[in-house]
Amino acid sequence: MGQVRCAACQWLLEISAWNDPQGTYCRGCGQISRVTVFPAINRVNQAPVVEAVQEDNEASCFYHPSTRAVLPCDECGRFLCHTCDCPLDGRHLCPNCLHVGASTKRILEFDNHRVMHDSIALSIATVPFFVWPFTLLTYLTAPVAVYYGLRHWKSPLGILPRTKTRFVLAIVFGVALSLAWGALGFSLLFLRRTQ
Amino acid sequence: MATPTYSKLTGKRRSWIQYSQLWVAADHLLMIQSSRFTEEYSRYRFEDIEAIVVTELESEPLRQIVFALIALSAFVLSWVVPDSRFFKIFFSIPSGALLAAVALDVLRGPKCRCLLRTAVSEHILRPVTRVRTANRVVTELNRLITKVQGSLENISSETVVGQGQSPEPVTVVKPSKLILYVLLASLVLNLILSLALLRWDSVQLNTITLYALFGEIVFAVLVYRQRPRFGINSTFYYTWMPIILVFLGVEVLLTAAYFGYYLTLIADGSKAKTLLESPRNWPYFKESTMFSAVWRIPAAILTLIHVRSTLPEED
Repeated sequence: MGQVRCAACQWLLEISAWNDPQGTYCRGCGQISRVTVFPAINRVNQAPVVEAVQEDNEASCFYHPSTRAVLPCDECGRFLCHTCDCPLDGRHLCPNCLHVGASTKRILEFDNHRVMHDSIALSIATVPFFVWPFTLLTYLTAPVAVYYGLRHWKSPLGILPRTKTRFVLAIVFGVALSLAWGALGFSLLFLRRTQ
Repeated sequence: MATPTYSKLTGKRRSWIQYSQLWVAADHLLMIQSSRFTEEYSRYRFEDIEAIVVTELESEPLRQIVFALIALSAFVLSWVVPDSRFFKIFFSIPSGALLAAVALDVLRGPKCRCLLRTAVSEHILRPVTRVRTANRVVTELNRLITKVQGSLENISSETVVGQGQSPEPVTVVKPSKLILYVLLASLVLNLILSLALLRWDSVQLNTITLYALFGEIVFAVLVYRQRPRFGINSTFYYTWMPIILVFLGVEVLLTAAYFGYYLTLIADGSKAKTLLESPRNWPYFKESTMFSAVWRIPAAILTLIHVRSTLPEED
């Protein structure tokens, strides 16, 4: 059975404090700790028994030919022994499929990092405009924001629902700034010629 | 694989440029830590959660009273001291915001830290920082986890290993916030002194301001020397703290210019005594004093936000 520690000082909390709605004073820091414990704390993980292949017609593990297979991989169908079985979200995968799924992020559980391209595009478009003297650099950053917004239009955003409003704003703002710079440059050129 | 449907469990716990938030799906808890440009996800399956510990943190009524008094005096001074209506409003906005922040802090109730334990790890739930939120989160998670795991019954002390022989608690070394509070108080004090100098012509006030300025520089350097390694709480030290130090350096230059002017008057043999008795005779007095007051408002707010929003480091 596991042990539960105080969230503030890491002192081991007594079992009498578990699931006590009033909480208990931690003997380490003197603060009140409320501990909610669930049945998983009683879970004992036992190593599965690995059996050797007894007869020729028995299926053996793809990775351990001398070991008896217990189930196939849900992804590729290879036979697996207890050692090679990687249970994940109700499915059973072989180590290779798990590795491929993690590296290509096809398995959602391994998707633990996302880049917010829309926020980046909007920042490129707007931040230099509002921060002097970087405002003068917007003739460079505005087209970059437009390019970045279009380039990552279809890139996946966060795993929570998110609209493309930031992309739209970045592109509109970038285009407007680029047009303004273009008009300024053109009018200066035109004025010089007329003079 | 289809993306699960999430529902919001807590609001956003904001830090400098980051925030964290809890969401729940049908079978797991999701903690998002966002730096605006990237998001990190931590998933905790309901069947793997062993315990949730909520520990109330020490309340700090004295600090709240001190902050409330500073905010209140700054708010009153901002209406009394400046002559023009514009500066009355200009200075009362940050002091009013400070007052509102103190009131909000009191209204949100006691603070806490929430720890989630699985068989292989322990994680601080960063979005849960108030007891009221923690109670709501634990109630909701309790309902969802019990649905998956069932309820816990019959814990006998014989089955528990290690109870009654608790080891010494792990010593958690935290950087002291005291020096940050001192710097904040110093910034607010100098802000008030600068405003007072604009209003009242006093050589004593000028001398006190000078000493307070040098004290402030010492505190700022001490704070900067305590900067942590790059981490979730280091943004303040690597972005705003150098800017504050630069502004302090500019003020030192202004002070040097003031005394330089005094020395030139001595060399000329005229009006030197008058300048020392009334700093208002310095040609750049009003501009430099306004500069002193104005830059300290955002500096004090930034320091306050940093002190108040420092996230607990992952254990």
